[in-house]
Amino acid sequence: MSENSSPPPVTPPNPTPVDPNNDTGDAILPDPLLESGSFIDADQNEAEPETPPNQQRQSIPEGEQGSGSGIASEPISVAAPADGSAGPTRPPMKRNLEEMAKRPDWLPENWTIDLRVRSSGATAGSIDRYYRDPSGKKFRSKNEVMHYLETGNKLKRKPNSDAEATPSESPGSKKQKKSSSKRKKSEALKFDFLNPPTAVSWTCTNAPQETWTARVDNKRVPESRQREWAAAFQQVTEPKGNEGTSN
Amino acid sequence: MNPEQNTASPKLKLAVSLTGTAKEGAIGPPLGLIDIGESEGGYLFRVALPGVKSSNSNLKCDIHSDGSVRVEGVVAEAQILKNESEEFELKLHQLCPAGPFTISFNLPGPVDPRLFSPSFRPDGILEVVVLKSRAPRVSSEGA
Repeated sequence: MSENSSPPPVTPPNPTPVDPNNDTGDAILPDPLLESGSFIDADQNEAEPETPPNQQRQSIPEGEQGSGSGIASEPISVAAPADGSAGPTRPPMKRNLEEMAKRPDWLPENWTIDLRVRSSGATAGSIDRYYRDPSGKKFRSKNEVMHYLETGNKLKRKPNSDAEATPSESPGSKKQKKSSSKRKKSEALKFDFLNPPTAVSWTCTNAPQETWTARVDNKRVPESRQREWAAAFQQVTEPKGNEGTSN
Repeated sequence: MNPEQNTASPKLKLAVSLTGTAKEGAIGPPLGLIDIGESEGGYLFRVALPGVKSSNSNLKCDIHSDGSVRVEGVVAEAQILKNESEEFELKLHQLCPAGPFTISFNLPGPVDPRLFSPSFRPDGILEVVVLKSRAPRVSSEGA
C-alpha cells in the first residue's frame, strides 16, 4: 500500500439556474442572486391551481377579505427597489396583493393570511403568502397547513419530504387506527373476503401490551398477514366517505 | 305473548357450555357469563372472566367460521392463599376455583374468523368484535 493520498476528486458545484417557471417546486436550488436568508417560495407555483380566481371572487364578498387577512410589510410602492439594480432581472409580479389576500376555502376560519412583500434582494417586489394559525404559528403552503391540521405537527421543511412515507410500527398490536387510508386500502386489497378459513385460534399475550396472535391449523399466522387482516377489519368497519375530504 | 320469554331476542338461543373450573361455581357460573350483540356488519360478544389474569393466563379464543366460539384460559390461584403462611380453606366455593376452563357458545351467524378485534379489559371482561362473513361487497370496491 502506498501513502499516496491524492486529493479526492472535487466535483465542481453545479450552478443550476433557477427557472421561475419550473414546476418541480420542491427542490431548493442555490440561487446566486438570492440572499442567504431568503428563499423562493414553492407556493408561488402551486398556489395558482388551488385558488382559481373566478371561484374566489364569487365565494368571498369584498368586505370580508380584510377580516381574516393581515397585510404586513411595506406597501407595494415602497417595496419596489429604489436603486433599480436588481429589480429588472425578474419578471414582474404575477399577482397583486389583492388577489393574494383572497382567502382560500380550505383555510380554517380563525386562521389568518399574512402577506409579505420582499423589500430587497433580487426578488424584491414579489409577495410571499403565509398562513397563521390562531396561536401565531406560521405556515408557508397549503401542504404545510393541511399536514398540521391532520397531524398536529409541523411539517419538516425539507426538500421532497414525504409526509406519507413514515411506516407505522407496532406489528400485531390491536390498535392501529391511525394508519393512513391509502396504505390501508392497498393492504386490504390483498384480503380475500370470500374464503375465510374455517377457524382461527387467537391467543392473548400481555407482554408489554395486549397482543393477540393468530393461528390457523395450528400454524402461526405471520405478522404481516395479521396486519392485513387488521387493515381489512378497519376498512370494513370504518365509515366510508374518505374520498370527499379533499379540502 | 310467547309464554317462553326467556330471551330478549328470539333468534338467540343461548347455549353456553362450560368446562373446567368454569363449571364448578356452586351458584351459577361466575365465570363465563356472556352477552352478545349484533350490528349490521358484525357481532360483539362479552365474556365475564373474573379471576383470569390478563398476563400469563394463556387466554385463547377460537373462532370458527360457522360462528362458534371457544374461549379457553386459566383461573389464577388466589393471591392471598398463595402468599400467606397460614392456610385458609374456602367454604362457599361460589367463585371459580383455580384451574383451566373453556367457555363455548355460538354467535348467531357465520363470521370471518380473521376479522377479529379483541380487548381483554383489566376489569376481567373480554370484549370481542367479529365481523360477519361477507359477500364480495367490499373487495370489489377496489376494482
